[in-house]
Amino acid sequence: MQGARDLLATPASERIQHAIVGSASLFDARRGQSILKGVVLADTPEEMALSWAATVIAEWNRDGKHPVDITANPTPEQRADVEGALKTGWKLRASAVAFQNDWITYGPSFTPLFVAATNDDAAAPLNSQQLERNRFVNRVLAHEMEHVVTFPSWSQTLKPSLTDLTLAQLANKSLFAYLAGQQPVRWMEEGGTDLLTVWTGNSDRIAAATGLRAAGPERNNYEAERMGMTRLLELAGIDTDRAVDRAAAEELLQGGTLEQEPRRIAERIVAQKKIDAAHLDELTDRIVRTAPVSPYIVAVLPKKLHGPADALINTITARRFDRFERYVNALAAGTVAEARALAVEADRASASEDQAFERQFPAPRA
Amino acid sequence: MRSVVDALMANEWSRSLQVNGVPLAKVAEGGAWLELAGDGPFASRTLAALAGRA
Repeated sequence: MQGARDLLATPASERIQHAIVGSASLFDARRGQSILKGVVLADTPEEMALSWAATVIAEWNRDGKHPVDITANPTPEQRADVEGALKTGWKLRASAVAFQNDWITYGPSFTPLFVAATNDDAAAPLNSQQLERNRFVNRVLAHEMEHVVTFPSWSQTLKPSLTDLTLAQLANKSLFAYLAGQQPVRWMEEGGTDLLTVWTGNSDRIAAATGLRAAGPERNNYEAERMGMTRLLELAGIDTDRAVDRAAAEELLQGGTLEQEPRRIAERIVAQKKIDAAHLDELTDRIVRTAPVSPYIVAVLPKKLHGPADALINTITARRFDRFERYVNALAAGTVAEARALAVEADRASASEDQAFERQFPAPRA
Repeated sequence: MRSVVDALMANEWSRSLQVNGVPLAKVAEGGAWLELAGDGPFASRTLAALAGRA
C-alpha cells in the first residue's frame, strides 16, 4: 500500500491540502479561535501509539509538572515514562479512527480511504462505492475538527486523566473504570460533535469545503451519544431534523466550555418548559447523571461482541432518557416531589443497568 | 509534537524502544505529519510537511 508520506509526493497532495484546510475552515466563521496545529495521517496502529505518546510527552514538558529529558540522557524514571506513554498509546489509541488534542491524528482505518478519495478523478462521476467512502471521509474530517477547532476544553478535560494513567496507574486500575470515569463529559462531547456533523443539510456544506463529493451524511457509530443529545435538544426546543435549527444547537453545544454544557442545556430546558428557575441546579445535576453506558467500553471488548453490546447500550440509553423526560415533565408540571422521586428511581435503575451490562459484557482488565 | 518524535529519533536509547514489537525508528518513518502553517483563518493556511517527501 502506498503510505501517507508517499502520497505527499503525488498530484493528490494539493487535494489533501484542500480537504484538510477546507474541513478546518468550516469553523472559521464560528469561533476564530483554535488550538489546532496540524494533522497526522497514520498508516499503522504503531504510528497512532507514537503520535499519542508524543502528545503526552510534549504536554509533560510544556506544563513543567513532569518534564522528560528526551534530548540527552534521561533518568531511568523518565525513560520508563516514555516507554509507559508508548504502551498506553498502544493500548488506548492504536485502534482509534482518530484522536485529537492540539493535533488531529487520523488512523489506518481512515488514512487509506482519505488518500483514495483525494486520488479520484475530479472530472469523472463517482460510483456508489466512492460516494459511500467519501461520506465516511467527510464525516470523520468534520467530526474531528468539531472537537478541536471549537472550544479547546474537550482535550483539556480529558488530559489529566490520561496523564495520570500513563504515569502510574495503568497497572492498578481497570480499563473499564478508567473509561467509565470519563463518561459524564465524554458522551456529551461525542454526542454533540457528531450530531452537529451529521445534521440535516450539513453534509453538503462539508463536501463543498473538502472538495470530496459524497452522498449525504453517514450515521454509523455514536448512536447512543447522538440519541441522548437528540433527546436533550428536543426538550430544549431544538428540532434535530430541521436544518435551520442547527445554528441554535451549535451555539448551545459549542458556545462555551464542555464543563458548562449541562448547565447551558438545563437553562434552555427551563426556559422552553417554563420550569421554575429555582430547579436549575438539580436539573443540571440530572443531565450530568443521565449518561449512556460508556460506549468506549465496547472498544476493549472482543470484536464479535461489539454489535450486541452496542444494541444493549442503545436500549439502555433510550430508557434513561425516557426517565429523564418524565422527570422534566414532572418539574414542568410543578410536581416537584414526584420529580425528585423519579430522580431517585432513575439513579437506582441506572446503577442496576450498569451492573447488568458489565455482567453481560465483562471488560478485560488492564 | 513532531519535534518530540524527532528528539526521540536523535537518541540511541529511544530509537531502540518498541511499539508492539516494532522498533521506534521504523515507526517514526511512517505517516505524514502536516503542520497547518500560518496565522489567522484556516481558509488562508497551508499545510507544511514536517515529515515525508512533499
